[in-house]
Amino acid sequence: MSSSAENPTLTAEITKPSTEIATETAQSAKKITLKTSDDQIFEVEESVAMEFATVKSFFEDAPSSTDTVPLPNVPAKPFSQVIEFCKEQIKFKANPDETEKKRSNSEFVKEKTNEDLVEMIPVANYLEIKDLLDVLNQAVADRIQNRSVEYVRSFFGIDNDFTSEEEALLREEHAWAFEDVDED
Amino acid sequence: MSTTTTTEPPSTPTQILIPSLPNDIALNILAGIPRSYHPLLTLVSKPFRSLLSSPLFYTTRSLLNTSQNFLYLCLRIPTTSSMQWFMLYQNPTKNSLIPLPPAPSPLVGSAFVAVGPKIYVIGGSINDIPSPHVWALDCRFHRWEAVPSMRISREFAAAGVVDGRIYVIGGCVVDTWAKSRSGRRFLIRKRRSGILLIVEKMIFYAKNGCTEVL
Repeated sequence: MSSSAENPTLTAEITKPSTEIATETAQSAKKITLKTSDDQIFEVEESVAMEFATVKSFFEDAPSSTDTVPLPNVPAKPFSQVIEFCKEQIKFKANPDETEKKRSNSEFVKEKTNEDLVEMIPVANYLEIKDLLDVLNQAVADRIQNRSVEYVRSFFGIDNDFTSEEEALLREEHAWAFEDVDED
Repeated sequence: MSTTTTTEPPSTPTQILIPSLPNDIALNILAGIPRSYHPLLTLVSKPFRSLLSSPLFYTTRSLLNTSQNFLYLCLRIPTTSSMQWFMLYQNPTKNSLIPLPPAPSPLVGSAFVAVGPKIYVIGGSINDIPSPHVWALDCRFHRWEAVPSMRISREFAAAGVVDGRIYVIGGCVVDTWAKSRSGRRFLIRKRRSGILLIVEKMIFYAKNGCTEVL
């Protein structure tokens, strides 16, 4: 299982996990070439690429195509993390273990920054990876729960469009809800 | 349990909720957050606030299986004539009783039933005068709405829900029209959709979000 990318501009961090296991499958597995919105080329093993429903349907229409598949809405950084997730997922396809899968999923989101999570969501959505989308949605919901209003705004990059009077009024109305909010 | 949440056609809100995400995804994320954090979310921005007060938001919660059940309390405070409504929030750390807007009329001895996201307050009396009025508390938005009145006044009536229909039985007082007929005047008719119980010529019917007297 490998997504070793040929493009030399990719960072070492992205390519590193794949080089360790690249040798065992390199000879046999068919690779699919994908191009991200920022013109990075990724060579992804077919079984991993078939996890992306969008890419899968592309190949259902043209099974013998060897063309590079353009991914116009997908930047390289979140894409490499999405590949990381899908590689883990295929292991569980061959060998289903729900407990282990849950553990692996929570491990995956745990080490991601808030920014990583929010950036991966549109990618998972565009590539139609439902499992990942569910995992990310839940992770984001968990991270903003019990946080202050300011934290939620900065988490999503939302501007406050309330006047200070409106905000004060709403806070007063729901004063009980703001008592036990976690520190940012 | 609920049929009323599905009556409004789902449509994605028009204002952008989260700048970097499509609205349907933002909606899925926000719908997964427990209700006790909703007041805080309403303060994030105006689009958040209008989403959280929309039926679409609660429909999405039902579809995602994230809707929650809550206990509602209606207390009569001895020093006042009105009933006080509360909702019990249970957090891992503590429980709190959240005061809700009072019912539009200070009824005593009403019958209560819950159907879908609404609690119906049926009949009761104001200053010892029985009332035919019915009010519904929409527990999604904590708003009171008027429901068509019963044909006769009742206090301390019995009410129940069968197949989404509300049945109100008894509760008619001594000198009303109905008293002379009470206790006997009902008949049961079988219909395609189930059993209709007609009590004192009065059937209460609530299904798919509309409530009507048959």
